[in-house]
Amino acid sequence: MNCARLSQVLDAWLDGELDATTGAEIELHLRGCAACARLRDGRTALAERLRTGALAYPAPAHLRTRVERAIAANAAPAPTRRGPTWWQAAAALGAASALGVAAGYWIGQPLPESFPGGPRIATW
Amino acid sequence: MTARFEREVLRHLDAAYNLARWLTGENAAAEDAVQEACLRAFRFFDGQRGESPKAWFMTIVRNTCLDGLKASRSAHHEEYDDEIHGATLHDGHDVAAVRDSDARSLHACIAGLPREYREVIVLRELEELAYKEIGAIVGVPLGTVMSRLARARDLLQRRLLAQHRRRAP
Repeated sequence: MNCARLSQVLDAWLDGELDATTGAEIELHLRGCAACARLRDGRTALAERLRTGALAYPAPAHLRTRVERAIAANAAPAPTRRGPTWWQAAAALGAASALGVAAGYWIGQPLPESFPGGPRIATW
Repeated sequence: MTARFEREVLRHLDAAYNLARWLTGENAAAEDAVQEACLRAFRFFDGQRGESPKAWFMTIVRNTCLDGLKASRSAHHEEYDDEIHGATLHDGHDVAAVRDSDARSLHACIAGLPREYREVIVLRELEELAYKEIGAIVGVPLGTVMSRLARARDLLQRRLLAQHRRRAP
């Protein structure tokens, strides 16, 4: 372990992310190198300062309610898509046929002479 | 809302808001981002099979924030300051500077970090996430998490040192 390598791995070691063998090499180097020991001291001081600095922003109290309402209003999970069952399809077909027959019958009837309020066709 | 969503996602609302607040820099923008992220998370929650629901949720929060920042074009990108970066961290002056820093200057130094450094500082130092989780959230390999955190701390220490020197008579 040399100084250049130590500066690459020091943070991961302090964060508990390295194996014991590399950790032992780092400790050995730190015992014999005052400059790298100062680097370690700087990191330790920084970690302590960040930990005690009250730097995290807690969520405001109303945010949870706001989120719960938004979810209830907008975000139903995507439903499982399934086709109609055979009887739903048959019922729909039957309804469509009945409507067709009724419409045909109605269209075949003559219009009365006067048709109060007659059909108005939208012109937009 | 399902009990599982409540248990695995909404319990991280503080962490979500903290990340969003540090990324957006504003209370209202952070609240909007967290709400949008929760909606996205709820929609896709059933398909979520990752080992860390918190990391999964925080990824959505981060992406939502970045989308918002891109849309508002308010993301300020700060380049590495060579003058500050040139200072040495081996002489021990930075240790005193860090210890003497007040909450306000510490906050200002973190807020002034480029986004890629700021987010790893928040995820590691404030949320205490493991490198693997940070890598998943930020979308980079472990080696990059390691080097980015080291540079972020370097930069933070150098800025605290520069501030300390400016204040000193």
